[in-house]
Formats: sequence, C-alpha cells, structure tokens
Amino acid sequence: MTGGSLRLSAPSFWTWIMIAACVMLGVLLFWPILSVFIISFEDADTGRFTLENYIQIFTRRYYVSALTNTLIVGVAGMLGACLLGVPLAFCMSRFQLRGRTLISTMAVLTLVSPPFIGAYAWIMLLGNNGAITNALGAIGIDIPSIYGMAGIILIFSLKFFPFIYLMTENALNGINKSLEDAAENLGCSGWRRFRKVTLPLVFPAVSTGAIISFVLSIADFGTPAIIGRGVRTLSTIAYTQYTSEMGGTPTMAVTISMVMIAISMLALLIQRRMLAKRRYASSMTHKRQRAPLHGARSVLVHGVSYGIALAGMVPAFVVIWTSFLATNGPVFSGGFGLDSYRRIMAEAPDAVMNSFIFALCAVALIAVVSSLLSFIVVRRESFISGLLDLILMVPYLVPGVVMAIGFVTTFNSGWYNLVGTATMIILIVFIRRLPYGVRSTSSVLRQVKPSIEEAAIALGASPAKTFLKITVPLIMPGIIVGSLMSFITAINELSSTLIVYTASTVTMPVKIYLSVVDGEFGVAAALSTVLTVSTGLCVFLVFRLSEDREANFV
Amino acid sequence: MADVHLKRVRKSYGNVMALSEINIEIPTGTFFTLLGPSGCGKTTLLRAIAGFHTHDSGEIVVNGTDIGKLPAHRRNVGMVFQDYAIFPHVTVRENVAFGLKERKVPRAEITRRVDDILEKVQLAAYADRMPHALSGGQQQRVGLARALVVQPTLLLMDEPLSNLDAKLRVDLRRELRAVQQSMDMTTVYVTHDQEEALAMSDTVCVMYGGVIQQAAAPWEIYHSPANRFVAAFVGSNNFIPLVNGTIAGVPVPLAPGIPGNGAELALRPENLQIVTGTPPEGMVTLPATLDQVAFTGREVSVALHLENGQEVQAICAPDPALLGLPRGARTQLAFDPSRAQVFESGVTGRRLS
Ligand SMILES: Nc1ncnc2c1ncn2[C@@H]1O[C@H](COP(=O)(O)OP(=O)(O)OP(=O)(O)O)[C@@H](O)[C@H]1O
Ligand SMILES: [Mg+2]
Repeated sequence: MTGGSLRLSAPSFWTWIMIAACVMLGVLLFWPILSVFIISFEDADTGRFTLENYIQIFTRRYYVSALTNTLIVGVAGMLGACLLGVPLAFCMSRFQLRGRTLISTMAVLTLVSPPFIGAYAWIMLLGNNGAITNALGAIGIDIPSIYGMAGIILIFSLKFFPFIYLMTENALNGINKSLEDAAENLGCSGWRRFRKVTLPLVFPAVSTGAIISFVLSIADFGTPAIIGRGVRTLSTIAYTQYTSEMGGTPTMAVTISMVMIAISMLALLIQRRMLAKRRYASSMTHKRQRAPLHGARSVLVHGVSYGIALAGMVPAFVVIWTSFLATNGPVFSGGFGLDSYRRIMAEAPDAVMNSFIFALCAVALIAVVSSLLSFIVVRRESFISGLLDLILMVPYLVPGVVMAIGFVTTFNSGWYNLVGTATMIILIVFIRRLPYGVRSTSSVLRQVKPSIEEAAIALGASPAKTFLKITVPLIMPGIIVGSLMSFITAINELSSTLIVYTASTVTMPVKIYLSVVDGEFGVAAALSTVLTVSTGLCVFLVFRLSEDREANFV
Repeated sequence: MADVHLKRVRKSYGNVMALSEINIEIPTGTFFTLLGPSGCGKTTLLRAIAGFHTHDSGEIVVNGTDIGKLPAHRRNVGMVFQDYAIFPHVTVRENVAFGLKERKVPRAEITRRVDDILEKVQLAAYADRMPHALSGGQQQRVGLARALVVQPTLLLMDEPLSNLDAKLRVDLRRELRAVQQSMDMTTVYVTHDQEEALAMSDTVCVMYGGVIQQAAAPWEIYHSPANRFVAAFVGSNNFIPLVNGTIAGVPVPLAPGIPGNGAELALRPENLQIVTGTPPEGMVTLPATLDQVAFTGREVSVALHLENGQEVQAICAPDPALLGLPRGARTQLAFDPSRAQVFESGVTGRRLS
C-alpha cells in the first residue's frame, strides 16, 4: 500500500531523479569498473583481446605469491579478528562489567581509525628500533620481528575485531534466554552449550562481521605497504604496477584489480550461501540478566575485555604521545615539544586543508544525493528502486585502489579529463562512501509514515516541495549521522587518493604514508593526531545525535 | 460543493482485483460512507480518488471534469488520515496553515482562516503547541482542520476515528458531522464500524470484494438490504435455510414465487420473540432449546438452538421470568413471517422478498 504511493502523483519529479540517479551511478560506478574490466583483456602494446594478463596472474610467481599472501592475510586477519571480537562480545553481553560504555567507545574508535596508523604505531613499539623492542632488548629478551606477514595479521586482527564484536554482541543480546535455558534443562551446559546452541545462533552475525573484515583486509593498502617489507599483497602490487605502468596502458594493474573484486564478491557469495541454510526466526526475546562477577573470575573477565579494547587503542595512544615528542629533523631528540606540529604547519598545511576541503565537499554531495536516493529506495516500490538498493552494495566490494585505477583509466581525456584534479579525488570518495549515507538516511526514512507526505501532497504541495518541506526535516537526524559517518571515512581515505593525488592535492593520509616511508615519524604522528582527533569528534557527535549508537558504525 | 461521479473505476494489484466496476454518484453536500469488511477495497477506492495511486480504467468526475489523470497535489481534494499524519516538526497553527501557504493565500487571510477553523474544531487554545503535546483526539481534529481550511472540493476520510477510544469516537463523530454539515462539504468517509456508518451518513455504500453491494440511505440499508451480504454485515441477522419450504419441519408461509429450497430466511434478533404460552395470531412458532441468557441492561440477548441444531440469537425486552429460565429449558421461538426476508443462499445471494 505504502510503497508506490507517490507513483502517479509524481511522474515528473521523481522519475527525473531516478533517471539522474541511474546516470550518475552508471558514470561514476559502472563505467570505471567496466573500463577496468575491458582493459584487463587487452594486450598492453597492441590493444588486442587477450587472456594473457589473467594467465600471468595465475602463473607468474610474483603474482601468485601476492595472491596467496592476500588470501593468507585476509583469512588470518579475519580469524584473528574473530578470536578477539567474539570473546569480547561474550563478556560484554553476559557479565556485569564496569565501564561498559568506555569499552564500546574504544571499540568504535578503533573501528574508525585508519589501519595504516595502526601499522606504523606498532612499528614504533615493536619495530627494529621500537620502544618495547629496545626495552626488552636492554634486559636481554629478543622478540620476533613485527615486519612481514605476522605484523600485517596482527594489525588486521586488532583493527577489524570491533566489527565482529559489535555485530556479535548485538546478536547475543537478541538471543532468547529460554533457548539456552532449554538446552541446559536438556542436560547440555557449559562449553558444550556454548558450542552447540549459542554459537550457531550468533553465527550469522559473526560471519557477517567476518566477511566485512575479510573484504577490508584484502583491500587494505597502507598496512602491507608500511609493515609488509617483503610481503606483497594484491593491493600493493596493483599500486606498484600502476605506478610503473604510468604512461602506458595499466593492463596488469587493472587485471589485479579485477581479481580483487572477484575475491570480494566470492567471499560475499560464500557468506550468503552459508546464511541461506541457517535462517532462524527470532521471536520476542526473553532478556537475560547479566551475571554479576566476583573474585578471580571478575579479574579475568575484566582483564580480557579491557585488554582487547585497549589493544585496539594502542595506535591512537602511541601517535598522540609521539606527536608531542621533541624532534630535530626526523630524529626524536628526547623530551616533549611541539616541533612536529610546527613542522606540519610549515610543511603540510595544504595536506590538512585539502583533507578537510575534499572530505567536506564529498560529504555535502553524499548528504544531498543520499537523501534523494533513500527516498527512491524506500518510497518507490519498483524494479529500479530495488536494483538501486542492490547496486549500492557494489562500492563496499570495490577496493579503493581499484576504484582509483578505474577512474584514472576512464576520465582521462577530452572534456572529461579529471586526472590530477581535486574533483577526481572528491568524486571517488563520494561514490565509495555514498552507501553509508544512503543506509543511515533510509533507515530513518523507513520510520516516517508515508501518510505524512501524502497529507502534504493532498494539501497541494508538489512532490519536490513535499520532499523539501516535509521529508527532509523529518529525516535530518539520519542525514546528519550519515554525513558524519561518511566524513570519518572520507577524511581517512588513503588507498584511492594515493593513486590519484598530485603535488597540489596531497591529503593528510597520503602525507602520513609518505612521511612514514621517509622515516619522518614525528610529522606522521602529528598528522595522525589531527586525523584521530577530528575522527573522534565525529564519533562523539554521532553518539550524541543517535540513539542506536554503535549500530551506526557497522 | 461538488458532485462526484465515479464511472466504471477498476483497479487491480497484480492479479488481486481490488476494485471492479465501481459506479457511484455522490450529490453535492452528501456525507457518503464506504462500509465494508477489511480488505474489501475501501482504502483503495479512496486513494484512487485522492490520486495517491492510479486506477486501471474508468473516470473520476468531479463537477463535470475527469480528474483521474491529474497529479494528486492538483486535485484540491482534502484528506483526513487514519493515523492523523500531522507534520510532527511544526506547530498546530503551521500544520493548519500549510495548505493555505501552498495556495499563496495572503498572510492576513491565512491567520484569519486558521483561527476560524481552529475555533470550529475547538483547538483555538492549542494553536501554538507542537503535535506531540496533543492527545489522539486533538491530533485527529488538527488533521480535520488542516483538510477543511483549504475548502477542498471534496473531503476524504479514511477511518479517521478508528484509533480513538469508544467515548471519544462518539463525541468526535457528532462534531465531525456538524462541521461537515455547516460547511456543506461533499464527504467520502471510510469505516468498518456499521454503527458509525448508520449514525453519520446520508448514504451508506456497502462494499465487499471490490464490488459495491448496495448504496442507499441508512434506513434502507438496514431495512431493505439488497442482498444477503448487506443483510449480514449491517446489523445482526439470523440466517435459517429453508428445506422444502419448512424450518426444521415447521412450514413457513412464503410469498408466491419463492423456492422452498436453496433460500434462506433472514430474521433480525429483535424480530424474534420467546413465548411460553400460546403464540399470538399469525406468528410462526419454532420449538427451541435455551443455551444462554445475557442481560445487558437495556435488553436481554438470548442464544438458542432449534431442533435441527441451528443456532439462533434473539433480543428481547428485559423480563425476570426470561432471566430465570435455566440452561437447556425447552421453549418456543415466534416470528412474524411478514417481517422475515428471504435471500438466495451464498455470501452475496439476491433478495427474494
Ligand atoms: N500495495 C498492494 N499490493 C497488493 N495488494 C494490495 C495492495 N494494497 C491493497 N491490496 C489488496 O487490495 C485489497 C483491498 O485493500 P484495501 O486496503 O483497499 O482494503 P480496505 O477495505 O481499506 O481494508 P481495511 O478495512 O483493512 O483498511 C486487499 O485484498 C489488499 O490485500
Ligand atoms: Mg483501509
């Protein structure tokens, strides 16, 4: 009844918006992906059709090892994240912990901080010249190297566990207590009950979180680039190939990109398949009481929970601490000082400015477009609106490196030549983060009764005017939260910007990456602190503005 | 201020036929009620008139012009919603002024007309409140004021009172009718409460399965229902099948031309009497067994069953003797055959007498 309600009354306005939305997604999303797809079948020199690029990827050692490395870090990062996220979720949902809000806030902060900051923060602690390495070295203990595979997996586990924690906790809280009681009553208790009853019930949530971690792990560029040393992954070699093929046709870079998209899609499909077989109707829940904690058990549970949450926050503490260390050039000269901040004021004011300007432009676009798109998705029941909903999943699956290569190979000539412009950076961030905006606005719009809009129409307001005067004010909370969420991800964007930036369009994440590569840890720390603080501020605002706090972040 | 004429209006959702061949004429100033069970197409018809969705074919003629192709915001049709649909982000006054602003009415006139209408619906004191600080009944009146203030050619209301408690419903019913009459506003009103329909309407239109069963004045709907569905839906009725012209072996005098089989006698509970002595002249009496007697104050409702097991409801004047009868008591049920109506069997069976 409600769905197609405005179909007749609004043939022109919303039909135009729908057409515009399709054109926009076609140009900014499908065209780049399609051109990447086509180029991957071209011979670099002759431009003829060939399968040679794919054959190389699956036969040449350089590529095969990157492919295996990618899969290994993806799977291991995902498992590591589960090992941290599931116990934390269990402790949080089953026991009376002190400082619950603190723990979940730390988890969210971990979630929103970019992984490359984690990578170099851990280097500063456990690297060859790291604080902990040196301290332990002084008392004669050698710790294994943080560089390479182990480091990447450590960073991914610590970075992505909050996805799993937040989703699993939500699911655990939703389990009907009677189910577990019934199991206990039937003689199944303790660990066995957890394995046989509880775990299967939260499996959909855990697996969704796990897939997100996997997709983000294989797409991440900064971490393997900073801490990987010899370990190459698909995203780092895509970047290297792209820079080395610069000028010519980037056939190998785009072929790698296609393989990355394929892996992400495959992961999503596998997860869907697994979920399809397990569908549990959840009934009205009989909420469980959280168990009180005493004695050794209390110490253990608190220790585990705070340990996990704090481990995720270590990078933030490290960069903030480091940013206030006195430096002399790239060397820390002992004691505290504001040298690093002075240096970024002198050397990288444009990086700071650019970051904010680009992010704000992208967010403004996202706010406008996502409110229009969510109206189409929520209010107009048609084939196309269903399709739009599905299409908006695509940006989640396309790694940033791939999106950027797609843009560069598409918008590179004639009047639509955007190579090297700020516009390109803004558009890439816009299209990649649009789904966040649409998701949060449409969830608010679903709560607004369509009859309120119909009342305005019946009173003579045109569809466009109804949208502006009635719908927009009512979904404003969703638009604001969506904008904050997209701002957080926009300002931290590294992987795509690194491909398309020029001297005049440097951003903070790019500058941080370059500084780390150059060993300028002080500058990197000061910039990271600026990023972390702006991100934290947005998180604070989302918490203030939204009732369902943590749910906004997963 | 408008006469409405629906001509052969059809609407289906996929293969669900929601409206089939709707033909209605509504003269100016009429309070026209659509009455029917859930899912019979009332809302669908109302929304087609308002323009919230297209109908498949047919015409919606208002004052001589077909508005069926006009977008909803240009139809000048007022609508009062079941869930009030008050704009939650602006005050009562701004809610009511919304349509006037859309029509570019001068500011001074807006103030005057809003004040007038708020007076009329007794909300003058609440003009500057936000909607969430109003009770359900007050919100409903804001919805009414908002629709009326623009003086629409036609006012549509979809179960506007169904979310309110019984007492408020009766009060608002009266207010609503008074306002409608004072403005002489052609009104299409949807309800599935038959009492509400009978009490308020000039014309009651009974719908079933997307088809109009009967459209007539309340008296006529109640006393001469066009078919078995209307007889069953409006007021209560006992339907007793005829077998070879008899009920449980007792012959019933029927008008000529009425078949002795495949027809049902419709007896309103208030037309049934329980007699203990000799039945009055001209009445048909049926032996019956008492199941339950319920005293509701003004009357006594009695449940019985006939010898063939058929259950029957009767409504009688309160009588201590009746209330004293034990469960299972044998008694006699009497009715005047001239007050009985005969219908063909089947949900929408034709009326035969
Ligand atoms: N959007 C839709 N898609 C498919 N079928 C629908 C849709 N809307 C209504 N219907 C069907 O059309 C028929 C009429 O629905 P309608 O809402 O008009 O009933 P109604 O008389 O208003 O009922 P109620 O008294 O419950 O409000 C129903 O069978 C319903 O299931
Ligand atoms: Mg209805």
